[in-house]
Amino acid sequence: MKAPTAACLPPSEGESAVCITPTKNPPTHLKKNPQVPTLMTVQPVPEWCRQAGVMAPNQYMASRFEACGNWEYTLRVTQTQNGVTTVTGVMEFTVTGFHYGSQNLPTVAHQVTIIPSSMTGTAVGTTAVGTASCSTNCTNGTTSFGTQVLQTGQAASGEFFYNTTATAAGSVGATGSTWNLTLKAPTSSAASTLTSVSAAVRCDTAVPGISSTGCVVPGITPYINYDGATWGGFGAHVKAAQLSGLPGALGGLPLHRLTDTALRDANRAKACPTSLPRPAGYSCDEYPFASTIEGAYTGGGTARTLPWCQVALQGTPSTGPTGYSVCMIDANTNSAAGSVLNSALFVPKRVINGDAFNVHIS
Amino acid sequence: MIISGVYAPRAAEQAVELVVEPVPAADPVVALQASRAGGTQQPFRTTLFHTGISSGPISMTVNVLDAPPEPALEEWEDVHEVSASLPAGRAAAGGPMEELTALGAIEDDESGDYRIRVSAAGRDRAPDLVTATVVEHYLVQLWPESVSPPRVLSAVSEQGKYWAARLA
Repeated sequence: MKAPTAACLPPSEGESAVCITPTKNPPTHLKKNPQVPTLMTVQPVPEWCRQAGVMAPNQYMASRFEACGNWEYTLRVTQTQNGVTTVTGVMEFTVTGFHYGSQNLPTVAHQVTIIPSSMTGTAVGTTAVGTASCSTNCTNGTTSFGTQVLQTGQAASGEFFYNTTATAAGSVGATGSTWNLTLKAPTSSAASTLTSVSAAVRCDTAVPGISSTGCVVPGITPYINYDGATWGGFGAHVKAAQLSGLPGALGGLPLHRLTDTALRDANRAKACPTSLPRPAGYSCDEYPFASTIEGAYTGGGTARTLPWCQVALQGTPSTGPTGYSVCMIDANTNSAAGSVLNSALFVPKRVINGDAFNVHIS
Repeated sequence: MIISGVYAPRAAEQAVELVVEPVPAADPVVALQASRAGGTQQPFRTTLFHTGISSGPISMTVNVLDAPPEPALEEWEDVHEVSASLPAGRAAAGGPMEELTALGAIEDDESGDYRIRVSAAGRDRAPDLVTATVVEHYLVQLWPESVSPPRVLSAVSEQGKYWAARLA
Protein backbone atom coordinates (compact mmCIF):
# COMPACT_ATOMS: atom_id res chain seq x y z
CA MET A 1 0.00 0.00 0.00
CA LYS A 2 1.47 3.32 -0.95
CA ALA A 3 2.04 5.74 1.91
CA PRO A 4 -0.35 8.65 2.11
CA THR A 5 0.89 11.79 0.44
CA ALA A 6 0.16 15.42 1.26
CA ALA A 7 1.29 18.76 -0.07
CA CYS A 8 2.78 21.21 2.48
CA LEU A 9 2.70 24.93 1.85
CA PRO A 10 3.54 27.60 4.42
CA PRO A 11 0.48 29.53 5.54
CA SER A 12 -0.17 33.03 4.31
CA GLU A 13 0.27 35.99 6.65
CA GLY A 14 -2.15 35.74 9.51
CA GLU A 15 -3.29 32.37 8.40
CA SER A 16 -2.94 28.98 9.99
CA ALA A 17 -2.13 25.87 8.03
CA VAL A 18 -2.05 22.16 8.59
CA CYS A 19 0.76 20.09 7.14
CA ILE A 20 1.34 16.37 7.32
CA THR A 21 4.70 14.74 6.70
CA PRO A 22 5.87 11.17 7.09
CA THR A 23 7.83 10.73 10.26
CA LYS A 24 11.39 10.64 8.96
CA ASN A 25 12.80 7.86 11.09
CA PRO A 26 10.05 5.52 12.16
CA PRO A 27 10.98 3.72 15.35
CA THR A 28 12.37 0.25 14.79
CA HIS A 29 10.74 -1.32 17.83
CA LEU A 30 7.33 -2.88 17.37
CA LYS A 31 4.43 -0.56 17.91
CA LYS A 32 1.53 -2.17 19.73
CA ASN A 33 -1.62 -0.72 18.26
CA PRO A 34 -4.45 -0.01 20.68
CA GLN A 35 -7.47 -2.22 20.32
CA VAL A 36 -9.40 -1.30 17.21
CA PRO A 37 -12.97 -0.80 18.36
CA THR A 38 -15.62 -2.75 16.52
CA LEU A 39 -17.27 0.11 14.72
CA MET A 40 -20.06 -1.55 12.84
CA THR A 41 -18.33 -3.49 10.07
CA VAL A 42 -14.68 -2.70 10.74
CA GLN A 43 -12.72 -5.93 11.10
CA PRO A 44 -9.85 -6.46 13.54
CA VAL A 45 -6.50 -5.88 11.85
CA PRO A 46 -4.75 -9.27 11.52
CA GLU A 47 -2.07 -10.11 14.07
CA TRP A 48 0.58 -10.43 11.36
CA CYS A 49 -0.08 -6.81 10.44
CA ARG A 50 0.25 -5.60 14.01
CA GLN A 51 3.42 -7.65 14.41
CA ALA A 52 4.92 -6.00 11.34
CA GLY A 53 4.95 -2.69 13.17
CA VAL A 54 5.56 0.59 11.40
CA MET A 55 6.75 0.34 7.82
CA ALA A 56 8.64 2.60 5.51
CA PRO A 57 6.57 4.62 3.03
CA ASN A 58 5.24 2.56 0.07
CA GLN A 59 5.85 -0.65 1.99
CA TYR A 60 3.11 -3.16 2.73
CA MET A 61 2.74 -6.74 3.88
CA ALA A 62 0.45 -9.00 1.89
CA SER A 63 -0.85 -12.51 1.35
CA ARG A 64 -2.71 -13.80 -1.70
CA PHE A 65 -5.98 -12.17 -0.54
CA GLU A 66 -5.00 -9.44 1.92
CA ALA A 67 -2.64 -6.49 2.23
CA CYS A 68 -1.84 -4.33 5.22
CA GLY A 69 0.40 -1.42 6.08
CA ASN A 70 1.16 0.84 9.07
CA TRP A 71 2.73 4.27 8.50
CA GLU A 72 3.60 7.05 10.94
CA TYR A 73 2.90 10.69 10.24
CA THR A 74 3.35 14.05 11.89
CA LEU A 75 0.73 16.75 11.56
CA ARG A 76 1.88 20.30 12.34
CA VAL A 77 -0.44 23.25 12.78
CA THR A 78 1.42 26.44 11.96
CA GLN A 79 0.69 30.13 12.26
CA THR A 80 2.29 32.99 10.39
CA GLN A 81 2.34 36.41 12.06
CA ASN A 82 4.56 39.38 11.32
CA GLY A 83 6.37 37.22 8.79
CA VAL A 84 7.26 34.57 11.33
CA THR A 85 5.86 31.06 11.03
CA THR A 86 5.56 29.09 14.25
CA VAL A 87 4.31 25.62 14.99
CA THR A 88 1.35 25.89 17.32
CA GLY A 89 0.33 22.26 17.56
CA VAL A 90 1.64 18.79 16.69
CA MET A 91 -0.11 15.45 16.27
CA GLU A 92 1.87 12.25 15.82
CA PHE A 93 -0.30 9.51 14.37
CA THR A 94 -0.31 6.12 12.69
CA VAL A 95 -2.37 5.24 9.64
CA THR A 96 -3.20 1.58 9.11
CA GLY A 97 -4.62 0.46 5.79
CA PHE A 98 -6.02 -3.06 5.43
CA HIS A 99 -7.77 -4.50 2.38
CA TYR A 100 -9.03 -8.00 1.69
CA GLY A 101 -10.85 -9.97 -0.96
CA SER A 102 -12.16 -13.51 -1.13
CA GLN A 103 -11.60 -16.65 -3.15
CA ASN A 104 -15.22 -16.67 -4.33
CA LEU A 105 -16.74 -13.18 -3.98
CA PRO A 106 -16.74 -10.20 -6.35
CA THR A 107 -16.37 -7.73 -3.47
CA VAL A 108 -13.29 -6.19 -1.88
CA ALA A 109 -13.13 -4.37 1.47
CA HIS A 110 -10.63 -1.58 2.19
CA GLN A 111 -10.54 -0.17 5.69
CA VAL A 112 -8.40 2.60 7.12
CA THR A 113 -7.62 3.49 10.73
CA ILE A 114 -6.04 6.62 12.21
CA ILE A 115 -4.60 6.41 15.73
CA PRO A 116 -2.92 9.49 17.22
CA SER A 117 -0.09 8.73 19.62
CA SER A 118 0.21 12.33 20.84
CA MET A 119 -1.60 15.60 20.31
CA THR A 120 -0.35 18.99 21.54
CA GLY A 121 -1.40 22.62 21.33
CA THR A 122 -3.72 23.58 18.53
CA ALA A 123 -3.62 20.07 17.10
CA VAL A 124 -5.89 18.94 19.92
CA GLY A 125 -9.38 18.40 18.55
CA THR A 126 -8.23 17.64 15.02
CA THR A 127 -11.01 15.96 13.08
CA ALA A 128 -10.76 13.36 10.36
CA VAL A 129 -13.19 12.50 7.60
CA GLY A 130 -12.68 10.13 4.70
CA THR A 131 -13.95 9.27 1.26
CA ALA A 132 -12.92 6.30 -0.85
CA SER A 133 -13.24 5.10 -4.41
CA CYS A 134 -12.12 2.15 -6.48
CA SER A 135 -9.86 2.54 -9.49
CA THR A 136 -10.69 0.51 -12.62
CA ASN A 137 -12.96 -2.37 -13.64
CA CYS A 138 -15.13 -1.76 -10.60
CA THR A 139 -18.17 -0.09 -9.11
CA ASN A 140 -18.07 1.76 -5.78
CA GLY A 141 -20.00 0.35 -2.84
CA THR A 142 -20.58 1.90 0.55
CA THR A 143 -18.14 4.07 2.50
CA SER A 144 -18.33 4.78 6.21
CA PHE A 145 -15.95 7.41 7.58
CA GLY A 146 -18.01 10.29 8.84
CA THR A 147 -16.26 13.17 10.63
CA GLN A 148 -14.60 11.90 13.81
CA VAL A 149 -12.76 13.89 16.47
CA LEU A 150 -9.33 12.30 16.92
CA GLN A 151 -8.16 11.47 20.43
CA THR A 152 -4.80 10.24 21.62
CA GLY A 153 -4.66 6.44 21.74
CA GLN A 154 -8.09 5.99 20.17
CA ALA A 155 -8.75 4.52 16.75
CA ALA A 156 -10.84 6.33 14.16
CA SER A 157 -11.79 3.90 11.39
CA GLY A 158 -13.68 3.72 8.18
CA GLU A 159 -14.59 0.94 5.80
CA PHE A 160 -15.14 0.93 2.05
CA PHE A 161 -16.53 -1.87 -0.14
CA TYR A 162 -16.40 -2.10 -3.90
CA ASN A 163 -17.31 -4.69 -6.54
CA THR A 164 -15.41 -5.83 -9.59
CA THR A 165 -17.06 -5.63 -13.00
CA ALA A 166 -15.00 -8.63 -14.19
CA THR A 167 -17.88 -11.02 -13.55
CA ALA A 168 -18.50 -12.44 -17.02
CA ALA A 169 -17.04 -15.91 -17.53
CA GLY A 170 -13.37 -15.65 -18.49
CA SER A 171 -13.00 -11.99 -17.56
CA VAL A 172 -10.08 -10.49 -15.66
CA GLY A 173 -9.93 -6.96 -14.22
CA ALA A 174 -7.06 -5.10 -12.53
CA THR A 175 -8.38 -2.90 -9.76
CA GLY A 176 -7.61 -1.23 -6.43
CA SER A 177 -8.87 1.51 -4.16
CA THR A 178 -7.89 4.88 -2.69
CA TRP A 179 -8.81 6.57 0.59
CA ASN A 180 -8.73 10.35 0.84
CA LEU A 181 -8.51 11.38 4.48
CA THR A 182 -9.04 15.02 5.33
CA LEU A 183 -7.59 16.22 8.65
CA LYS A 184 -8.53 19.61 10.03
CA ALA A 185 -7.32 21.31 13.18
CA PRO A 186 -10.02 23.35 14.96
CA THR A 187 -8.17 26.70 14.78
CA SER A 188 -7.17 26.30 11.18
CA SER A 189 -9.36 27.23 8.28
CA ALA A 190 -7.37 24.97 6.04
CA ALA A 191 -7.36 21.21 6.00
CA SER A 192 -4.86 18.70 4.72
CA THR A 193 -5.62 15.54 2.80
CA LEU A 194 -3.82 12.23 3.00
CA THR A 195 -4.18 9.83 0.07
CA SER A 196 -3.81 6.14 0.89
CA VAL A 197 -3.65 3.85 -2.14
CA SER A 198 -4.17 0.09 -1.86
CA ALA A 199 -1.86 -2.56 -3.20
CA ALA A 200 -2.75 -3.73 -6.70
CA VAL A 201 -5.76 -6.08 -6.71
CA ARG A 202 -6.84 -8.47 -9.49
CA CYS A 203 -10.37 -9.81 -9.77
CA ASP A 204 -11.29 -12.56 -12.20
CA THR A 205 -13.90 -15.11 -13.25
CA ALA A 206 -11.23 -17.05 -15.11
CA VAL A 207 -10.31 -20.06 -12.97
CA PRO A 208 -11.16 -23.19 -14.99
CA GLY A 209 -13.43 -25.59 -13.14
CA ILE A 210 -15.31 -23.05 -11.00
CA SER A 211 -17.75 -20.35 -11.99
CA SER A 212 -17.16 -17.96 -9.09
CA THR A 213 -15.57 -14.51 -9.19
CA GLY A 214 -12.77 -13.74 -6.74
CA CYS A 215 -10.14 -11.09 -6.02
CA VAL A 216 -6.46 -11.59 -5.20
CA VAL A 217 -3.33 -9.53 -4.55
CA PRO A 218 -1.50 -10.54 -7.76
CA GLY A 219 1.90 -9.45 -6.48
CA ILE A 220 1.89 -12.44 -4.12
CA THR A 221 2.98 -15.71 -5.80
CA PRO A 222 1.24 -18.72 -4.23
CA TYR A 223 2.82 -22.16 -3.88
CA ILE A 224 1.81 -25.73 -3.16
CA ASN A 225 3.57 -28.04 -0.74
CA TYR A 226 3.62 -31.81 -1.34
CA ASP A 227 4.78 -33.86 1.63
CA GLY A 228 7.63 -36.03 0.28
CA ALA A 229 6.75 -39.04 2.43
CA THR A 230 3.17 -39.14 1.14
CA TRP A 231 3.89 -38.41 -2.51
CA GLY A 232 6.58 -41.04 -3.19
CA GLY A 233 7.73 -41.16 -6.79
CA PHE A 234 5.94 -37.92 -7.72
CA GLY A 235 7.71 -35.97 -4.99
CA ALA A 236 11.04 -37.56 -5.75
CA HIS A 237 10.72 -36.79 -9.46
CA VAL A 238 9.76 -33.14 -8.95
CA LYS A 239 12.51 -32.63 -6.38
CA ALA A 240 15.17 -34.16 -8.64
CA ALA A 241 13.92 -32.23 -11.66
CA GLN A 242 14.13 -28.95 -9.74
CA LEU A 243 17.61 -29.82 -8.45
CA SER A 244 18.70 -30.45 -12.05
CA GLY A 245 17.94 -26.78 -12.80
CA LEU A 246 14.34 -26.77 -14.00
CA PRO A 247 12.23 -23.89 -12.63
CA GLY A 248 9.44 -23.88 -10.05
CA ALA A 249 11.21 -24.53 -6.75
CA LEU A 250 10.26 -22.37 -3.78
CA GLY A 251 12.68 -19.45 -3.65
CA GLY A 252 13.52 -19.81 -7.34
CA LEU A 253 11.96 -18.81 -10.63
CA PRO A 254 8.27 -19.77 -10.64
CA LEU A 255 6.24 -21.79 -13.10
CA HIS A 256 3.38 -20.08 -14.94
CA ARG A 257 -0.03 -21.63 -15.46
CA LEU A 258 -1.14 -22.53 -18.99
CA THR A 259 -4.84 -23.16 -19.60
CA ASP A 260 -5.00 -23.47 -23.40
CA THR A 261 -6.14 -27.04 -24.07
CA ALA A 262 -4.31 -27.59 -27.37
CA LEU A 263 -1.00 -26.31 -25.94
CA ARG A 264 -1.33 -28.42 -22.80
CA ASP A 265 -2.00 -31.48 -24.94
CA ALA A 266 1.08 -30.61 -27.01
CA ASN A 267 3.19 -30.34 -23.85
CA ARG A 268 1.96 -33.70 -22.65
CA ALA A 269 2.37 -35.44 -26.01
CA LYS A 270 5.95 -34.17 -26.42
CA ALA A 271 7.07 -35.20 -22.94
CA CYS A 272 5.14 -38.47 -22.79
CA PRO A 273 4.79 -39.73 -26.37
CA THR A 274 3.26 -43.04 -27.41
CA SER A 275 6.78 -44.35 -28.05
CA LEU A 276 7.59 -44.45 -24.31
CA PRO A 277 6.28 -47.76 -22.92
CA ARG A 278 4.43 -47.55 -19.63
CA PRO A 279 5.22 -50.42 -17.25
CA ALA A 280 2.13 -51.98 -15.66
CA GLY A 281 0.78 -49.75 -12.90
CA TYR A 282 2.92 -46.78 -13.95
CA SER A 283 2.04 -43.65 -15.88
CA CYS A 284 4.22 -40.96 -17.41
CA ASP A 285 5.01 -37.91 -15.29
CA GLU A 286 6.52 -34.77 -16.79
CA TYR A 287 8.12 -31.75 -15.15
CA PRO A 288 7.59 -28.87 -15.67
CA PHE A 289 3.90 -29.85 -15.73
CA ALA A 290 2.02 -29.88 -19.03
CA SER A 291 -0.27 -27.27 -17.46
CA THR A 292 2.58 -24.72 -17.41
CA ILE A 293 4.15 -22.43 -20.00
CA GLU A 294 7.45 -24.06 -19.06
CA GLY A 295 6.15 -27.46 -20.26
CA ALA A 296 7.91 -29.58 -22.88
CA TYR A 297 6.43 -28.02 -26.04
CA THR A 298 5.72 -24.43 -24.99
CA GLY A 299 8.89 -24.19 -22.87
CA GLY A 300 11.14 -25.80 -25.45
CA GLY A 301 14.29 -27.80 -24.90
CA THR A 302 14.83 -31.52 -24.74
CA ALA A 303 14.18 -34.35 -22.35
CA ARG A 304 16.10 -35.60 -19.35
CA THR A 305 15.35 -38.39 -16.91
CA LEU A 306 16.65 -40.22 -13.85
CA PRO A 307 18.10 -43.74 -13.52
CA TRP A 308 15.09 -45.07 -11.56
CA CYS A 309 12.47 -43.66 -13.94
CA GLN A 310 12.21 -46.60 -16.38
CA VAL A 311 12.59 -44.17 -19.29
CA ALA A 312 14.97 -44.76 -22.21
CA LEU A 313 15.75 -41.45 -23.92
CA GLN A 314 17.27 -40.90 -27.33
CA GLY A 315 20.01 -38.32 -27.70
CA THR A 316 21.83 -36.23 -25.13
CA PRO A 317 19.80 -35.40 -22.04
CA SER A 318 19.16 -31.71 -21.41
CA THR A 319 20.66 -29.92 -18.43
CA GLY A 320 20.05 -26.60 -16.74
CA PRO A 321 16.91 -24.47 -16.71
CA THR A 322 15.57 -25.32 -20.20
CA GLY A 323 14.04 -28.67 -21.07
CA TYR A 324 11.85 -31.13 -19.25
CA SER A 325 12.15 -34.24 -17.10
CA VAL A 326 10.24 -37.46 -17.77
CA CYS A 327 9.64 -40.33 -15.35
CA MET A 328 7.36 -43.35 -14.97
CA ILE A 329 5.69 -43.19 -11.57
CA ASP A 330 2.80 -44.93 -9.82
CA ALA A 331 -0.31 -44.11 -11.86
CA ASN A 332 -2.60 -43.55 -8.88
CA THR A 333 -0.10 -41.15 -7.26
CA ASN A 334 0.35 -39.32 -10.57
CA SER A 335 -3.38 -38.80 -11.00
CA ALA A 336 -3.86 -37.69 -7.41
CA ALA A 337 -0.98 -35.21 -7.64
CA GLY A 338 -2.64 -33.51 -10.60
CA SER A 339 -5.98 -33.40 -8.83
CA VAL A 340 -4.41 -31.83 -5.73
CA LEU A 341 -2.50 -29.23 -7.79
CA ASN A 342 -5.94 -28.04 -8.85
CA SER A 343 -7.89 -28.42 -5.62
CA ALA A 344 -5.18 -27.20 -3.21
CA LEU A 345 -3.55 -24.47 -5.33
CA PHE A 346 -5.18 -23.43 -8.63
CA VAL A 347 -8.73 -23.14 -7.28
CA PRO A 348 -8.25 -21.84 -3.71
CA LYS A 349 -5.52 -19.33 -4.69
CA ARG A 350 -7.16 -18.38 -7.99
CA VAL A 351 -4.22 -19.21 -10.24
CA ILE A 352 -5.36 -18.16 -13.72
CA ASN A 353 -3.68 -18.41 -17.12
CA GLY A 354 -0.25 -16.79 -16.90
CA ASP A 355 -0.15 -16.63 -13.08
CA ALA A 356 3.09 -17.58 -11.37
CA PHE A 357 3.28 -20.35 -8.76
CA ASN A 358 5.90 -22.50 -7.06
CA VAL A 359 5.96 -26.17 -6.11
CA HIS A 360 7.72 -27.37 -2.97
CA ILE A 361 8.44 -30.95 -1.96
CA SER A 362 8.96 -31.09 1.78
CA MET B 1 -31.24 -32.26 -9.73
CA ILE B 2 -28.46 -33.42 -12.09
CA ILE B 3 -30.07 -33.78 -15.51
CA SER B 4 -30.02 -37.16 -17.24
CA GLY B 5 -28.45 -37.02 -20.67
CA VAL B 6 -25.34 -37.56 -22.77
CA TYR B 7 -22.38 -35.35 -21.93
CA ALA B 8 -18.87 -34.91 -23.36
CA PRO B 9 -16.59 -33.78 -20.55
CA ARG B 10 -12.81 -33.64 -20.89
CA ALA B 11 -10.79 -36.07 -18.79
CA ALA B 12 -7.39 -35.01 -17.45
CA GLU B 13 -4.80 -36.55 -15.12
CA GLN B 14 -6.55 -39.88 -15.88
CA ALA B 15 -9.65 -38.74 -14.02
CA VAL B 16 -13.11 -37.20 -14.26
CA GLU B 17 -14.33 -35.42 -11.13
CA LEU B 18 -17.81 -34.45 -9.96
CA VAL B 19 -17.79 -30.91 -8.54
CA VAL B 20 -20.66 -29.14 -6.78
CA GLU B 21 -20.21 -25.40 -6.33
CA PRO B 22 -22.32 -23.62 -3.70
CA VAL B 23 -24.81 -21.05 -4.94
CA PRO B 24 -23.22 -17.55 -4.79
CA ALA B 25 -23.87 -15.59 -1.59
CA ALA B 26 -26.92 -13.34 -1.72
CA ASP B 27 -25.11 -10.50 0.06
CA PRO B 28 -21.42 -10.48 -0.90
CA VAL B 29 -20.54 -7.76 1.67
CA VAL B 30 -21.92 -9.85 4.53
CA ALA B 31 -20.28 -12.98 3.09
CA LEU B 32 -16.95 -11.17 2.69
CA GLN B 33 -16.89 -10.17 6.35
CA ALA B 34 -18.03 -13.66 7.40
CA SER B 35 -15.07 -15.07 5.45
CA ARG B 36 -12.71 -13.31 7.90
CA ALA B 37 -14.02 -15.40 10.76
CA GLY B 38 -14.42 -18.86 9.28
CA GLY B 39 -12.53 -19.16 6.06
CA THR B 40 -14.02 -20.00 2.69
CA GLN B 41 -15.79 -23.28 1.94
CA GLN B 42 -14.26 -25.15 -0.98
CA PRO B 43 -16.50 -26.61 -3.67
CA PHE B 44 -17.49 -30.26 -3.11
CA ARG B 45 -15.23 -32.45 -5.22
CA THR B 46 -14.99 -36.21 -5.69
CA THR B 47 -13.44 -38.50 -8.28
CA LEU B 48 -16.30 -39.78 -10.42
CA PHE B 49 -14.08 -42.30 -12.21
CA HIS B 50 -10.55 -42.81 -13.48
CA THR B 51 -9.89 -43.09 -17.20
CA GLY B 52 -7.42 -45.05 -19.29
CA ILE B 53 -6.51 -41.97 -21.33
CA SER B 54 -4.34 -39.30 -19.75
CA SER B 55 -6.49 -36.49 -21.17
CA GLY B 56 -9.04 -35.97 -23.91
CA PRO B 57 -12.76 -36.05 -24.61
CA ILE B 58 -14.93 -38.90 -23.30
CA SER B 59 -18.59 -39.78 -23.76
CA MET B 60 -20.61 -39.91 -20.54
CA THR B 61 -24.28 -40.86 -20.30
CA VAL B 62 -25.87 -39.84 -16.99
CA ASN B 63 -29.06 -41.47 -15.70
CA VAL B 64 -30.65 -40.13 -12.49
CA LEU B 65 -32.86 -42.89 -11.04
CA ASP B 66 -35.11 -43.52 -8.06
CA ALA B 67 -33.83 -47.03 -7.36
CA PRO B 68 -30.85 -49.27 -8.31
CA PRO B 69 -30.99 -50.45 -11.93
CA GLU B 70 -30.31 -53.98 -13.05
CA PRO B 71 -26.62 -54.32 -13.92
CA ALA B 72 -25.88 -54.78 -17.65
CA LEU B 73 -22.41 -56.23 -17.26
CA GLU B 74 -22.16 -57.83 -20.70
CA GLU B 75 -22.41 -54.43 -22.39
CA TRP B 76 -19.52 -52.89 -20.44
CA GLU B 77 -15.95 -53.84 -19.49
CA ASP B 78 -15.62 -52.36 -16.02
CA VAL B 79 -18.44 -51.65 -13.58
CA HIS B 80 -18.11 -50.33 -10.03
CA GLU B 81 -20.19 -48.49 -7.44
CA VAL B 82 -19.28 -45.75 -4.96
CA SER B 83 -21.30 -43.59 -2.58
CA ALA B 84 -21.29 -39.80 -2.36
CA SER B 85 -22.98 -37.28 -0.10
CA LEU B 86 -23.93 -34.55 -2.56
CA PRO B 87 -24.53 -31.01 -1.27
CA ALA B 88 -26.87 -28.49 -2.85
CA GLY B 89 -25.36 -26.36 -5.60
CA ARG B 90 -24.31 -26.32 -9.23
CA ALA B 91 -23.04 -29.73 -10.36
CA ALA B 92 -20.44 -30.18 -13.11
CA ALA B 93 -18.01 -32.87 -14.29
CA GLY B 94 -14.59 -33.01 -15.92
CA GLY B 95 -10.91 -33.63 -15.29
CA PRO B 96 -8.79 -31.66 -12.78
CA MET B 97 -7.76 -28.24 -14.09
CA GLU B 98 -10.24 -28.46 -16.98
CA GLU B 99 -13.24 -26.31 -17.78
CA LEU B 100 -16.13 -28.43 -16.54
CA THR B 101 -19.33 -29.61 -18.21
CA ALA B 102 -22.43 -28.39 -16.34
CA LEU B 103 -24.78 -31.16 -15.20
CA GLY B 104 -27.55 -29.21 -13.47
CA ALA B 105 -28.46 -27.74 -10.10
CA ILE B 106 -28.96 -29.85 -6.95
CA GLU B 107 -31.67 -28.22 -4.85
CA ASP B 108 -31.59 -28.20 -1.05
CA ASP B 109 -34.17 -31.00 -0.79
CA GLU B 110 -32.22 -33.08 -3.32
CA SER B 111 -28.94 -33.03 -1.42
CA GLY B 112 -27.93 -36.15 0.47
CA ASP B 113 -26.49 -39.62 0.04
CA TYR B 114 -26.38 -41.17 -3.41
CA ARG B 115 -25.08 -44.40 -4.86
CA ILE B 116 -23.21 -43.98 -8.13
CA ARG B 117 -22.64 -46.88 -10.53
CA VAL B 118 -20.02 -46.28 -13.22
CA SER B 119 -19.79 -48.55 -16.27
CA ALA B 120 -16.81 -48.10 -18.60
CA ALA B 121 -15.68 -49.36 -21.99
CA GLY B 122 -12.54 -48.65 -24.01
CA ARG B 123 -10.05 -47.89 -21.23
CA ASP B 124 -7.30 -50.04 -22.78
CA ARG B 125 -7.50 -48.36 -26.20
CA ALA B 126 -5.14 -45.44 -25.47
CA PRO B 127 -3.86 -45.83 -21.90
CA ASP B 128 -2.02 -42.81 -20.45
CA LEU B 129 -2.16 -41.03 -23.79
CA VAL B 130 -3.60 -37.74 -25.03
CA THR B 131 -6.52 -38.30 -27.38
CA ALA B 132 -8.34 -35.93 -29.73
CA THR B 133 -11.40 -38.13 -30.30
CA VAL B 134 -13.65 -40.14 -28.01
CA VAL B 135 -12.23 -43.62 -27.40
CA GLU B 136 -13.82 -44.32 -23.99
CA HIS B 137 -17.50 -44.49 -23.07
CA TYR B 138 -19.07 -44.26 -19.63
CA LEU B 139 -22.51 -44.77 -18.12
CA VAL B 140 -23.06 -43.00 -14.78
CA GLN B 141 -26.21 -44.05 -12.93
CA LEU B 142 -27.13 -42.47 -9.61
CA TRP B 143 -29.95 -43.01 -7.15
CA PRO B 144 -30.65 -42.06 -3.52
CA GLU B 145 -29.18 -44.59 -1.13
CA SER B 146 -27.35 -44.53 2.20
CA VAL B 147 -23.56 -44.60 2.13
CA SER B 148 -21.86 -48.00 1.82
CA PRO B 149 -18.34 -49.13 0.81
CA PRO B 150 -17.22 -49.18 -2.86
CA ARG B 151 -18.10 -52.35 -4.80
CA VAL B 152 -16.57 -53.77 -7.98
CA LEU B 153 -19.06 -55.61 -10.17
CA SER B 154 -16.77 -56.21 -13.13
CA ALA B 155 -13.15 -55.43 -14.10
CA VAL B 156 -12.19 -56.69 -17.55
CA SER B 157 -9.73 -54.12 -18.96
CA GLU B 158 -6.20 -53.81 -17.56
CA GLN B 159 -6.87 -50.17 -16.67
CA GLY B 160 -10.17 -51.24 -15.08
CA LYS B 161 -8.44 -53.83 -12.90
CA TYR B 162 -5.82 -51.29 -11.81
CA TRP B 163 -8.31 -48.61 -10.79
CA ALA B 164 -10.79 -51.07 -9.25
CA ALA B 165 -8.10 -52.26 -6.84
CA ARG B 166 -7.62 -48.66 -5.66
CA LEU B 167 -11.19 -47.52 -5.05
CA ALA B 168 -11.25 -45.39 -1.91
